[in-house]
Amino acid sequence: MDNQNSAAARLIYRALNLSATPANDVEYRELLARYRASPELQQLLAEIAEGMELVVLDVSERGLIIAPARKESRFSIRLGDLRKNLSEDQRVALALSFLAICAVFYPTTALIEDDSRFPMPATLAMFRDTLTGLSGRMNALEDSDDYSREELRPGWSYIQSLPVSIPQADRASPNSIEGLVRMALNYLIEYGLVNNVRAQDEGEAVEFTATHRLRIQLRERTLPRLFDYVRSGATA
Amino acid sequence: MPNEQLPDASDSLGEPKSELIDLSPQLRNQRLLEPMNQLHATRNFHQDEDGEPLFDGLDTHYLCMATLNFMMEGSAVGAGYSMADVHTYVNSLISRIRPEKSSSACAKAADVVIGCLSNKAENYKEFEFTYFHAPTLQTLVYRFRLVTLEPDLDDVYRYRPSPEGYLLLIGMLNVDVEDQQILMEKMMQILIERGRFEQAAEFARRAMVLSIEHRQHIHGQITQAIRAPGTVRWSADIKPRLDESRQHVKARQEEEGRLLMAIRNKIGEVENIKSKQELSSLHDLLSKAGTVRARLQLEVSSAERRFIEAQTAAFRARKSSGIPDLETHLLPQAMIRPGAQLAQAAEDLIVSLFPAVFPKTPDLSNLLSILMERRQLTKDADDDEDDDEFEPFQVWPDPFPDQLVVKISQWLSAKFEENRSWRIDELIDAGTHEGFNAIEQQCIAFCLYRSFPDSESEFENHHAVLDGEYETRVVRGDNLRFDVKTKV
Repeated sequence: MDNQNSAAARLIYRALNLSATPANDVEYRELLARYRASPELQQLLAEIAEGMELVVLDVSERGLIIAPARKESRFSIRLGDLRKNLSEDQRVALALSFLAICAVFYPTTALIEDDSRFPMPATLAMFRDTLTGLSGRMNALEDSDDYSREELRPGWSYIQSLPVSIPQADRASPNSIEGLVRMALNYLIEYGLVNNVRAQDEGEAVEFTATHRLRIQLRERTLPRLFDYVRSGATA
Repeated sequence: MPNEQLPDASDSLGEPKSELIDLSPQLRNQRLLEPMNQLHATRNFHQDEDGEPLFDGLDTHYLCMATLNFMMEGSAVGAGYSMADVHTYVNSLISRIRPEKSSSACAKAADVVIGCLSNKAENYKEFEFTYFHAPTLQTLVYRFRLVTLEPDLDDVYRYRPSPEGYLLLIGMLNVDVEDQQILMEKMMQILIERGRFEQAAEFARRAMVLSIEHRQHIHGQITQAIRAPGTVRWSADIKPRLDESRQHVKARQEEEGRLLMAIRNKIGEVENIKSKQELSSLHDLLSKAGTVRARLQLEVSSAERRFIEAQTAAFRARKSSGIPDLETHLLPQAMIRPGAQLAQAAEDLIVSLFPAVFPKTPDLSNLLSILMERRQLTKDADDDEDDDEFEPFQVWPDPFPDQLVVKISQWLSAKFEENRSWRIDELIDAGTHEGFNAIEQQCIAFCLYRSFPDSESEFENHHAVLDGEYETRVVRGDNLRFDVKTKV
């Protein structure tokens, strides 16, 4: 029985380590196999996780994906961990940048939910163009940009107000669309949600690929939240 | 006739340097022109279908030279023109000069001209002309060809001028030619001046751009098919472009292969730096175009497989959460929502993307490295809108110059000689009575405050203690009382 306890704890430890993958870790593979075979272990692990304010999102041969149960969990990152002192405009623009990156990788819900299909690699330009293209289209649809009440200003106008890029800017900054996308990408890479692939030829743009973890986070957490948010706005 | 009286080519040029110039330029050209002269002499024997003279109103010499020139240009930036190319060229040349001639007559005349250059009359053997070689007192046979017809890598027969053919052409341009090397140099020079290489380079560049376009289009369509199966139609969106690409690749592969071969040969032959550079840049361009084309070919050959893979994905059964698509529904709708509301949900949305991580504990080495980190100043620093101003550094004059302090100290020392207690306000009053101005009165207070600690005091026999507050017209503050120290 002790063995079960330590297996559950070790599995949680592995899952919390962003760089651990079953592909190059024999023990992780064995633990996963045991977990999938044993309902007791599953139950035990779920209980330990619950006590630690964690929740199991997905388990597959690609690994165990766990997430913080609540925003206030000690295991949850905070916006301040990513970047401090973001203004309201910048927060909105950053959130939309994250969503645009996800939308380029996973345009359809069907793609997210089908584990056997993989998203295409994408370039920085594709993320940027998705964001500017969408906000540009909405801008064109809008009759006038006169918002008598500032709080009714739509999110896309935050994007519209930013320059696409700032010449000779090396650092990812929230003052341009490209800078925002680059910032978002850096965070996603840092937390093992996106990988960057070296360009094949000189002069070709660096490509990014989505990891399995991004799919699960998106499918289990972000997408339902976004859907709830959009729906609550529609009914309000 | 004595030999010495004969005009001798080698005399005028010194020792003969090669076989080609064993004759004087004039004599040599005369021999090389012999085949054309023969055609000229026999031109009236050639008749068209109606029995009319075939070369009526045509200059056979001009036609032959033009044909040779055409072949030269073809072989300069390629492996030469094919038989059909040459024939078409001569044909159109004749019909341009004599538009009234029937097409069959033109074609026949073209055959005769090309036949003349390639010695059709002698069954395509070498031309043979005899000449008297004075130094050896012998009649020698001069054998040569004007054009060569050889198959290229693809087994297509192509015309090229022979070395003698080049010699004849250059001779007609009235350029002295000493040997084969210089002959080639001169010819390259002429071709460069005529802009033939720029033309070839321009063609290659355009073809390369087209390769890239084809590749991007196919790549884009396949990517779209993978992202959203069912939105791309094979027959309308991909197939036409694939067919075009295949044709393009085939045509350019042949053309550029020949060109590359020709250029490699030529680079070895020329020594002129400019010609070498031109050739080498053209060569580089062609190699690059080849790589681009290879990638296009890869894209073309894998398109079908990848498209089918993408399409089958559309038929797979799977559980569905029923949540609308991110790209077409959720993201646009989120963007429409008021930004102020979105800002509240933003943190939740962003954070929900991130996995569970170990809480970050700052350890000493992390803290140190953060402290040691040197921020790089960049142009897009957050608040750089306000331009800072430089303020000149102001020098404030010392309110109590040394002289004044000395004067007041002496005055105070005199007062403390009286061996009694003094307070600041009493001393300022005393000073006022003696006619001290405001600065001097302030200086009294300054000197007394300086003497507050015993270690700094100027008045060794007195000890300062705090004694309420005082206020005069020029200075106010805590009052100090200087008591006489009791002797121990």
